[in-house]
Amino acid sequence: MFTVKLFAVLAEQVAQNEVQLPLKTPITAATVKQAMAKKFPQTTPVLTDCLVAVNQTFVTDESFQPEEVREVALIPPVSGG
Amino acid sequence: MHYVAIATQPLDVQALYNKLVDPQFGGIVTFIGTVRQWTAQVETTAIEYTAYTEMAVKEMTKLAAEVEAKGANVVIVHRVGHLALADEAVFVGVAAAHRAEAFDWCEYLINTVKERVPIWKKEFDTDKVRWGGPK
Repeated sequence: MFTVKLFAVLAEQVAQNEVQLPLKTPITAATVKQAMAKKFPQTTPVLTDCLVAVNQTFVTDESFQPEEVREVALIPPVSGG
Repeated sequence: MHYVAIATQPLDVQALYNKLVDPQFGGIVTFIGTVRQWTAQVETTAIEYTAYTEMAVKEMTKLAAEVEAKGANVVIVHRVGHLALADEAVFVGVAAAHRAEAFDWCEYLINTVKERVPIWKKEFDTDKVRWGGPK
């Protein structure tokens, strides 16, 4: 199981700042979103617009082995400024 | 020189400006984003900002270092927490040799901060609460 950090609207939807998810290897942005959608189907619409960060860096097509992953986060559309 | 931070207390605009001042740079451009009351027909009463703080600082540092390398002093500070109308939410400042690049780089920085730094606003409007504000 991996700890996945949640923020903003996503954290609000599941009332948690982080969740434990089983992630398939190799880990990619898609596997993180799929695992989240499976455990929390109500987040599916928001997940479509989310980015994924691994080790505090945005990822798209990169893949990771479990031992390379220190931190995973789902990033809803940002709105700073 | 660059300075970036996620601030939990009100921004000290004068202190942030002072960090930019440098005899080698003759143009300083600052942008300050504040909490606006009206967006078309939507009336805002307050905004709560949250951040993925560690990653936000990393992203802001990358941006600041990129512009600093072109020859500038850079300050990027974003508030988090509960902000009232007119409170300062973000300060972006660039000191460069001349005004043209100072304006360009300051605009580039605020635009990029808004696009990719993991910070979120929860906007309290009179009709409802909006994540990210009116679309």
